[in-house]
Amino acid sequence: MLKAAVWLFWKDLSLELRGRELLLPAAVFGLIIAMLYGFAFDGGQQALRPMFPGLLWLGIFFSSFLAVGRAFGVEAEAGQQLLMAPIDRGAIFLAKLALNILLTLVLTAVLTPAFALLLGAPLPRATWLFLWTLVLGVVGFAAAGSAMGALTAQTRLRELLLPALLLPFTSPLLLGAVSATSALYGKSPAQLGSWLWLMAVFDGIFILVPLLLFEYLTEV
Amino acid sequence: MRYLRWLALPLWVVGLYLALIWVPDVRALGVSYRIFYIHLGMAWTALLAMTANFVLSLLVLVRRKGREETDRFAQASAEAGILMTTATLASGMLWARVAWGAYWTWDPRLTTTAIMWFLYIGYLLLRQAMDDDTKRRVYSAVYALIVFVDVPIVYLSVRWWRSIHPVVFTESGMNITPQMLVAVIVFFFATLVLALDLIYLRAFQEKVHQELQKRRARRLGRLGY
Repeated sequence: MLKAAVWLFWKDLSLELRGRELLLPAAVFGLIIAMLYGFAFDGGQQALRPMFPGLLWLGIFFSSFLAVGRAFGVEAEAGQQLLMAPIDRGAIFLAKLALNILLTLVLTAVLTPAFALLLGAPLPRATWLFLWTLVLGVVGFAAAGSAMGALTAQTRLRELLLPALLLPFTSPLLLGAVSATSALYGKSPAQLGSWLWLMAVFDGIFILVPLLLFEYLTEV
Repeated sequence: MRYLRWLALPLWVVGLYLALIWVPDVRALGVSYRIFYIHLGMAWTALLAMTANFVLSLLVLVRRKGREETDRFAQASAEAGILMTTATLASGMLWARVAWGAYWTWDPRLTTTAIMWFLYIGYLLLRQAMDDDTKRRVYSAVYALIVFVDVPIVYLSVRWWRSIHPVVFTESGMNITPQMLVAVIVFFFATLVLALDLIYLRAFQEKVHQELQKRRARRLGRLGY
């Protein structure tokens, strides 16, 4: 199963490297969001700084769902060819999940410094903890996004449906990520550990549960 | 099951009498607290309906026999759950305006209920957007399972975030009098029976609808479309 997943992941990755169809538009959209924050919350950088954790995570989530929803979309458009391959169905999900995690991680690596720059907030001093927060938040979003992406791939108007399903679903993750990031800036820092745990639990559950249920989706 | 609605009506009349007239006022809250009986019954029924949706969705996946029927009941219980959740939110907001001074606060139960509402609206949206019947059954069942797991995590996360909702049942006992408890229980059964009645009605409607569509397709086929 793992070998097939690696090959499938490689297939999608080379497609993305050749076309840059997902990452580029998503990253540009993320940067536009940062600009729009500046316009919408007119008040200069001083006013935006306390809101930085929330603004950053909303930017990451909004631009990420553009990227994660497409992973299963390309297969739906290509027909059901992948399902004819003599491989474990779980491998398909794992490969898409790995691609989504990689894409959102790259996206976050681009957007976080850009947001810090544009919104005038210094990044937290505890670099490793901040990296952990970013990774846990992004992996959870990619996992939930892969599950919802698989569910909406066969629907009409999937681009419209995905945010309506995914964004309320990931609200605990958003709460955890924003609170953890705020904690790194010194707002109730004692709770940092519990928020990181919450995100880790969310990540674990929503990697495992969709992986177990994915088989059912491929049977019909 | 056809006779359920004849049971729902008297239960509601008795429940309303108990909640609005029989139970004495609570000094600190005045008359406004009486909405609590309707609110609590509907909130419990909503949670039960969502749990029923979870169990039925699980059955849709693991049992092929009678999958269509199970799926119709899963959909109907989600719809009844959404209706009860909407009523819970509406009654809660009215009470909150009087007691807390604002229609909306970011209390864990309110916020969780609102997010649950969105998640199950998503269930109906997903069903509506799938053309293939078999796919709709399986996909929405998988969605229902994933979402049911998400709700407690939402609750936990919002709870860590903040809390002001009054707690009626605590580990040390109940914060209400026996008389109030009677009204609560009667009203809970009134809403539960109403929800069951609605679920059966909606599942039956769906059955008729699907049967009509099947016959229409067959007829169009005969006509050469």
